[in-house]
Amino acid sequence: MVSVLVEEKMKSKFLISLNALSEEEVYKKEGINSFLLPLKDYCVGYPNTFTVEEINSLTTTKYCLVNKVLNNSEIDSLKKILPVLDVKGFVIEDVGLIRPLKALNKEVILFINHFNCNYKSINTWLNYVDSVFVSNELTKEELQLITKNAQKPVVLHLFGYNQVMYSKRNLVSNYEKHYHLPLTNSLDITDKMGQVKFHLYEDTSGTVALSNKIFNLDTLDFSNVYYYYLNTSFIPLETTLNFLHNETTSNTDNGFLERATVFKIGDLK
Amino acid sequence: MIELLAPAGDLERLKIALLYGADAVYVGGQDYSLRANAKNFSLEELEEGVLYAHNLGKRVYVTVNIVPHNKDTEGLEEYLKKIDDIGVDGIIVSDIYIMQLHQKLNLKTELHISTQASTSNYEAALFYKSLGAKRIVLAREASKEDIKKIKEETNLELECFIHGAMCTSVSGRCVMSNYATNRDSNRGGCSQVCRYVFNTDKYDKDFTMMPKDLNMATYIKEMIALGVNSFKVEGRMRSIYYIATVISMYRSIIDKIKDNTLDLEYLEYSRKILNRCANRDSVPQFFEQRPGVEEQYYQDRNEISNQDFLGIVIEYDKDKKEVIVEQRNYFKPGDVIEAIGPLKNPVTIKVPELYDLDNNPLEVARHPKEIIKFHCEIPLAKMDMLRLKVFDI
Repeated sequence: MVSVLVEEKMKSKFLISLNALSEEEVYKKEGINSFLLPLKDYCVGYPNTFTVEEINSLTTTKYCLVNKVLNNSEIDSLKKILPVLDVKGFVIEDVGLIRPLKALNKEVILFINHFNCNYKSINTWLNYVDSVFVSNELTKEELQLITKNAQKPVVLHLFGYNQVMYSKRNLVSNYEKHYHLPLTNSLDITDKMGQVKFHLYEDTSGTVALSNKIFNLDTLDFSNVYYYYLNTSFIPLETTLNFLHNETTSNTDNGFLERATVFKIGDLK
Repeated sequence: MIELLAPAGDLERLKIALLYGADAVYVGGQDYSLRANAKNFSLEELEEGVLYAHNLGKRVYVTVNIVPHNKDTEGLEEYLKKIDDIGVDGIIVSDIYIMQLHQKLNLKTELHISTQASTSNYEAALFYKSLGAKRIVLAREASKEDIKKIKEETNLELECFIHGAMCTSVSGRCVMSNYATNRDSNRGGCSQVCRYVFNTDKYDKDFTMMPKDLNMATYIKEMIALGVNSFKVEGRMRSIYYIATVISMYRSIIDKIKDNTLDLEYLEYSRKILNRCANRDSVPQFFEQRPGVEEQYYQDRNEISNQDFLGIVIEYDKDKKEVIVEQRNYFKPGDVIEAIGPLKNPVTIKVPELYDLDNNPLEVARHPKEIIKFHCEIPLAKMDMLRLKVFDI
C-alpha cells in the first residue's frame, strides 16, 4: 500500500475521468476542475462512456477521450463527430486523428498506451501535439528525466488501475460461449501459481486487462507537468474521494516507480 | 511488387529462408529489436547476411522496433548509421524518435513502420508517410476493407502478416509481461503471459486467451488484388525446418497464383502441411471478420510435438548416387519419407539401407546430429531437408 500527500494547490493540475456526469460537481467541490470524458463507441476499458450531447452538457474544462485503435470507418465517422464536440481538447490513442484534429484548433494530447518512454520520442511527438501521456511502466528516475527534458508539459498517471492489455478479441464472451456459460463482460483471472492476477473487461470494442492493484504515483515532486491523471474506471467514488482526502487507500501500489523492467533474460536478477 | 518476407533469427536461418524462396528477410540486431532473446545479428553477421542476400538479388530489413527508454536512445544514431553503411534495405520502426533520426541522418535505407505501431487506418498511414515512411506493416487486426482503403488513400507499400503466431493484444498495447514477470514486452522481453493458463473467479473451467496461429494461404490471391506488396511470415525464433517448410509452401502458392495454376486441391495440401509444421492450429484471423470462439484456445497449449524433420542433406555424390545426411529425428530403412529443397517439389523416397560414415550398417537413424548416408537415385542437394511423408498432393 502506498499513498501520496495530495496538496490542495496541486488539484488544479489534476485531470480526472468521470464515471457519471453527476461526479463533476463532487470533484469540483474537491478542487478539481479538469475532466476527461470517454466518448461512447470510441473507447476501450472505460465502462462508462458519454454521448456527444452528454459531453457538451458540461460547462467546465473538459477533454474528450478516444482511446481505440481505429479502423477506416471509425476514423471517417469521427471526422463528423469531433467538430461538434464542445471541449478544450482531445486525448487520443490513434495517431490517425492528429491531422483531422489540427483543423479544429483544439488541444491534442497523445496517449499511446505504454509508449512515450523517453524524452527524445516525447519531444518529437510534441512537434505534432500539445502534450503527451507518459508511459506508466517507468521508474521515478526515468519520469524525472523525461519531465526535466520535455519541451512542453506532459501528463503523468497519478491514480487508477492500469490498462495492461488491449485486444480487439472478445476474450471473455468467447470463453463463456465455448463452455456454454452465462454471458458476462468481466472476469478476474489468476494464473495457476496464484501470482499473476488481472481483471478482464469486455465491451463491443474488444477486451482490456487491468492491473490487479490501483496505481498510485507516490510523489508529486515533478516539474513540467501539464496534468496528473486520475483514471477512476472500476473504482468506487468513495475510494477516489478517500485518496483525494489523503486517507488510506487499500490495494494500491506504485507500479514500476522503484522496479525497473528488464528485457534480456540475462538481465534478470 | 510482390514480396515473400521471411523471419531470420540468425545467419543460418537467413540463408535457409532465401534459398527456400523468400524474396527478403527481416532480422534483428543485438540491440533495439523486439526479440531480445533470439540469437540475433552482430554487425559483422549482418554485413555477411546482406552480402549473401544481395548476391541473390534479395533484400534484408532490420527491426529497430523497441519502444526505447531514455537510456536505450544512447547509441541509436551510431547504430543506424552503421547498418545504413552496411546496406540494409530497410529498417522496421515503431518509435517516432527513430523515424525522425531516419530523416535527420538522411539514411539511404527505407523506413518501414512496424506492426507495433498498429496502423489500422489511412490517416495514420498518411501521418507516417509524411515522416518519410515507404512502407507500412499493417496491424494484424486490419481487415480486408481496411487494407483496400489504406492502399487507395496512401499508395504506400503495404506489408501484411500471413502466417505464424499472433499476439492476443493489439501489438504494442500489452504489458502483461511487465506486470507478471518484470520483463518489458515493448523492448523484446515478452514472457508470453497470454499463453498462461488461468483460474477465474466465476467458473471452474480453465481460462486462456491464447489465439490460434495465423494462416492466410487461401487469401493470398485476394490480398494481392487488394494491393498488398509484402507477405510476411512471423517467427524469428523458429527452426530452420519450420522456415524452410513455410517459406517453400508460400513460395509455391505465390508462384502458382502468378502462373494461374493454383487450385483448391493444392491449397488443401498446403493447409495440412502448414498446420502440421506449426504444431498449432492456424486459421485466418481478422481479414474477414473479428475472430470468434473458434479462433482461440481455451485450455493449455494444444500443441502436437511431431518429429517430422528427419535430417538435412550435407552432400550428394552424383557418381555414387549417395546422400550424406545430418540426422534430426528417428527414421529407419523401409520408411517412406520426403525430400524438400529450395524451389523444388517434394519427392518421395523409400529409405534403403543406412550406413554411418565408416560404412557400418545402421538399423535405425536414432541419434540427432549423427551423420549417416544412404543410396538415393533421386539427385538431392546440400540444404535439402528430409521429412516424414504424411500427406499426398
